Amino acid sequence: MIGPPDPISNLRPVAYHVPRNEHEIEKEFRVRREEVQKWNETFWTKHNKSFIKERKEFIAANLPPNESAGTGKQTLTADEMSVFYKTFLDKNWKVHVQYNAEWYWKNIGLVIFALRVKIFKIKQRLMSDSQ
Amino acid sequence: MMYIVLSSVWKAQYKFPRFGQAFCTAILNYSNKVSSPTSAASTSTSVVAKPPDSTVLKSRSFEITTKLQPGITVTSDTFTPRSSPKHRLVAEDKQWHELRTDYSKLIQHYFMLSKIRLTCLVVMTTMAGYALAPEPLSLTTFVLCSVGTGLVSCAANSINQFFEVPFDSQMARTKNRVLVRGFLTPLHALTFAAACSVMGLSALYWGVNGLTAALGATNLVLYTLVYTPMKRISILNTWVGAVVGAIPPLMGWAGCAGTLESGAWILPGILYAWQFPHFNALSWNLRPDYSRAGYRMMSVTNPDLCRQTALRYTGALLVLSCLAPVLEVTTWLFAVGSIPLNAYFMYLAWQFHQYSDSGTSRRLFHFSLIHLPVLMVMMLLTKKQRSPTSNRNDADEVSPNRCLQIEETSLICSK
Repeated sequence: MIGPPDPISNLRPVAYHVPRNEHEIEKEFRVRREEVQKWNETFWTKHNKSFIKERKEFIAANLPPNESAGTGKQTLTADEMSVFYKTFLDKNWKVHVQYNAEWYWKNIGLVIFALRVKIFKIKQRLMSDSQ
Repeated sequence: MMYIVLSSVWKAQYKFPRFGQAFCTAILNYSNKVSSPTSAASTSTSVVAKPPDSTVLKSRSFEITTKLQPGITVTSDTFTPRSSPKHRLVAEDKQWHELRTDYSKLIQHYFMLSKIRLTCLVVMTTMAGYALAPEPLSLTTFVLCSVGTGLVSCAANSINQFFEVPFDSQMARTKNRVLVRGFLTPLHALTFAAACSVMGLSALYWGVNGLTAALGATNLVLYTLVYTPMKRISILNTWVGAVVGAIPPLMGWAGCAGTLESGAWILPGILYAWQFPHFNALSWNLRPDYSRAGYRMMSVTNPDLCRQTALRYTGALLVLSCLAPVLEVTTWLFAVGSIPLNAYFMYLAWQFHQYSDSGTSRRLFHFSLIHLPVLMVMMLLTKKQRSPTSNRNDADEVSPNRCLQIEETSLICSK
């Protein structure tokens, strides 16, 4: 089952059904997928939280003083915000490069595993058909 | 990039009058109660992935999706005016769905996976490249070249989506993609990509020629293994992406002529140069999303460079258009006729350079959608008549229907 996107991490949680006669290989695949999902959730929740926090701090630090009176502007212009966007992106460059490499590795690993499980299931079905 | 092109054009046409929208919303609310979530989700998939184009909506929607309000799942679609299929999607988005491949919607999912509109645009540029080549048109190679390129493009887009699932989830523009929503498994998507690439490259190799197949394979690798990861590493990805966009017309020319002479590089050069004002203008309004999702684009990291390259490459477009008759691809009529078009493009790029707000960027982007098709049509209409041999007659007349003539001799252009 796949659910609605998480409000912070924006990722959709997936709940994997455990069949009654789950084979070892299927179990390992399910566990792996759950691990990768959890790892992704952790990363993006942390990343997005820091984005929200830093964005708030930037806006608070840069709004003109008459904002507190309620008559001034509530948000910054796109050009003013672009300074924040640049600093945030640059600050997290290394984090993203590392995440990227790990994600590609995990994703490819998962798809290879999925192929193994698929081949196993096909073999199983062929063997049970021939009996 | 060009997928964004088409989706914005589509969105501009997809405007309901107020009455129609209210009516649709009423129908929608009723249908929500009676229809199952999954079927409604899949029917609205095709209309979902079209983001609002305005900066105001984007900044507002961005704020909502990042608010710390547990239990409330909000999408940017909530704030999009007048679009009842999106209202339907918002309602379903709050529910859990079974992860099951809906085979009745398979073709639709494949279209979404392969970014079919972008693929069609790519095939059109290939056809233009083919039509511009001096050799006679052979129907079999023309069709196989187009179909082969289309299939390779489908494969490339599928692999790209396979790699980008967590990033696509973060951005409003891409969060309703097929793999993000779980309509297909990653293995299914990759199998589809593998099948398309094998079929496409085979069609190119055996149906056209080895050069076209080699260019197709290079483009596939460049897009999936260089451009896609590079988007998160360096702003140079824009230059790589521009090359990816320029190769299809080169493939078209190679498919017809079998070789790449100097004239072959004009249309690819034009496409390469066009990408910069097009993409830089578009990405200007997507800076919040790119920053949060970790995409390194000039508009975020180096806004000055962003403005300058947009302007610079409109100048390059002007130069290339004037070079076309020199390299005997078109007549001088093209150079003269394209000057007003390119000059206006440069003017808009200049405005963007000076003022760089959402208005100037949007005007530049929208004009780029008109500029390229018009330029391509002009090139085809003013194509220089040449014999296939090395005898070049400079006094050839312009024939508007030249590109539509089909020679009886087929297989001239095959390997």
